[in-house]
Amino acid sequence: MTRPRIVLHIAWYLVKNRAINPFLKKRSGQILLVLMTGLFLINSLQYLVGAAQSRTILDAVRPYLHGLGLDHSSIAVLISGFLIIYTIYTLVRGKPIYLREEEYEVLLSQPISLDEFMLANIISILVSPLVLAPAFFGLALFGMVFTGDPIRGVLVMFGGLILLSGAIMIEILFKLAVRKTGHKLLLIIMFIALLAAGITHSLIAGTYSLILGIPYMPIAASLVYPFSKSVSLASAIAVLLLGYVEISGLSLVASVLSRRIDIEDLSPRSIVNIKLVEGGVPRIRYGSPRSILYSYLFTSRILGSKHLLGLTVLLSVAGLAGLAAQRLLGVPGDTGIAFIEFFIPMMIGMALYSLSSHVLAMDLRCYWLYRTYVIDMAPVAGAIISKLAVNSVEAAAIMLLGLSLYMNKIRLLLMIPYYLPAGIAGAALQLITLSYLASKRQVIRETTAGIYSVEGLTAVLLEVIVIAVFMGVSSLAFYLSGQPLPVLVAGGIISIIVSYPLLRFVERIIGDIMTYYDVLI
Amino acid sequence: MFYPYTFILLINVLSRVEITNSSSRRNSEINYFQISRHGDHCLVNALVLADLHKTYPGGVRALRGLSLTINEGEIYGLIGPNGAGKSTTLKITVGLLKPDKGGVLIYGRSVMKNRVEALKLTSYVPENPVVFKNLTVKEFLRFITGLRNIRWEEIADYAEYLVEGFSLSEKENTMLYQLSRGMLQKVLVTAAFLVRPKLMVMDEPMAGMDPEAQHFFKKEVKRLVSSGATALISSHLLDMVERFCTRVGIINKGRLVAEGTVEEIKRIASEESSLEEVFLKIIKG
Repeated sequence: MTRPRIVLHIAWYLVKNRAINPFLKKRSGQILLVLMTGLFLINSLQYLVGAAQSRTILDAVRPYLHGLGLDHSSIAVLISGFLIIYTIYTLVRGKPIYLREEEYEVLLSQPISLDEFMLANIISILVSPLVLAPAFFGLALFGMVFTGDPIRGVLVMFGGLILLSGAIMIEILFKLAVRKTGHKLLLIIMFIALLAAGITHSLIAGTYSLILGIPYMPIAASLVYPFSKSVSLASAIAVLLLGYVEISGLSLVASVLSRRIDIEDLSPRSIVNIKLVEGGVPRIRYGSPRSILYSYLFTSRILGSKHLLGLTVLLSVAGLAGLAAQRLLGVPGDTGIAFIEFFIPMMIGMALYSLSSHVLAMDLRCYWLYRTYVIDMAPVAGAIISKLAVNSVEAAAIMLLGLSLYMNKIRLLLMIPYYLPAGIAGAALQLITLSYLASKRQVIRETTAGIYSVEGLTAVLLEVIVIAVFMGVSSLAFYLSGQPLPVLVAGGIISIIVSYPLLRFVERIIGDIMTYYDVLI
Repeated sequence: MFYPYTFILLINVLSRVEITNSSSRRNSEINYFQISRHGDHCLVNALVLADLHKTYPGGVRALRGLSLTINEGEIYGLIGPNGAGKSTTLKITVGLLKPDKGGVLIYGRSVMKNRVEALKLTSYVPENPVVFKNLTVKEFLRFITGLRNIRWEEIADYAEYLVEGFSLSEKENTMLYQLSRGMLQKVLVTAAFLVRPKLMVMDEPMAGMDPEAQHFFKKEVKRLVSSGATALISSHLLDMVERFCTRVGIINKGRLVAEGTVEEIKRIASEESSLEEVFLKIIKG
């Protein structure tokens, strides 16, 4: 029998550890909180005295969205569709539920039943959006700037948190469903059939089918509806409540499934990291330090089967999405094109941002190892920059393939090489700043643990560069794509030729900083 | 607080609908007598590990039929080379891993069948000092003791004694992420003592501790054991094991290859020197 007191005790400390203390007891959390609250209040005040811009970002964006045939309900349907894809992905992976190491090692070795833990975990996920709210004033600020209304800003914040909690709950629920019912294939077939029906209906009807919204519309609408001025405040609040009710329902089912859960259904996150490392260990033959470092840091990652498979899948998806969009929406008009040329590179740049942070975090974690065993750090720098630059070119290829098919503008594909020198420059800027900072702080002398939060935070701030560079080159590419074909081809060849000396030049400079800077100061 | 209670009640009702997993395995359990006769004495079996087998998903066979019995009042040292299966044994003991075959009884209570009741008697210190980083030392200790329905007022004096003994007094309101590895180890050991366990399962408990803390740790373990508790300690510190443990088990490749008091093991190995040399001789065959 589940003991409510124990469940609430665990849930309270989980919420405290995950949501309350990081913002109330940590200096960085406090600063963030004050900053966000202050900005929100100032902007709210501006709005109240009527000093804020009467024309909001939403007003500016609305014509573009309408040009694409998108309104609040169709955007919610699309998000719901993405949640269906996420459900399929969760089901296909079907791995154990991963817990934080302390939750696994410390908490599960206590005299609590596993369903008590799962229930507490679920309650903490349900409660966290409410507790975390003050820490997410940034989201409210975003919502307010977008809509020009502080109340809608707050609703956007809650909507975002409901969507986040919904995604977490979907993952937990379907992992449990796979483990406890054993009907993995059936569930996958059901959701794929739903997705296929939704897409087919959309293509036939020439609109976004409500079939896609069947499972997750309330959760998706929680975020989208507060943005829309055609939805009254009361309706937006009602939709939010509906979203919360849906999450509660999902939680209830997950809680029931978590009865008599097996310890092997749960796994500490460290196991994931070990698997990541195991999966990433390449075969390296004997060779010069340079070839070994390039082989480990660059070739094995970029030419690894997993990476190539992922790239192939993404290119296929982009191609199909481009064709489907053309069929569904037709070739976009001028306003649509202007919107796409701004919005899509920004989204892809943000995706690239999270990828390059991951790459940098993984590679610089072994900084101390390279410093101990490698005499010259230039190949390390070169390999990391090459990898980030190639990632940037791959992202461009995925984006331009989709857009070229959608916009019926195949010559956009000729612009792919243009991203190479820009990618090298952006990556070099990131790495030079990080290695300089790490050396300046003498991180290497003091620890073998790799980079610290200061470097991590700087890496996050530097990612703005990645997005800006990607968007900048994309604007150039869209502009130049109207030029004569020989000019485009020549530009591409020049980009490739220029890239090599540029890479060797920056790797020498950064290599020297990484090798000598903290020794000489 | 109405909502969570209603939620839990609803789940209790709904969960009466059985959901069975066709692939679930039934562990073979061997029922051991809790009390064994040893000469004129009756020994209470605090822990019985019976024929434990464990193979990890990657195919690594961590345990190959490990059995051992620890009696109440013993300080049992489990030693062995890296990868011998020590941590796996300890994790199975506290229910963090499920054996493929075999069973665990803590004071006659099966960890597989009656996990909560068995673990009520047990405390565990993991190999790596993983903690809830965003809690303070005090919050963490209250969290762990609260899981056993222990009121803080009942143990406040003992907590103060332990916190002082481990030099944690000034760190009580410090967040755990701000502490060093050694300090975290002290916090975990404090929590393990504080719940007044009958069986203490500790994986490298003194790793990273300063000499003063190590001294206090040993003193406290001895005190608890003299009042009826039992300790299972895994360690690579052979000098400590030799002087501190009342009985030692040597594990290699998932099997118990030698067991007894230090003197008995020395006799088995025909060695008169230190436990370290006996250990090396046994491991190398």
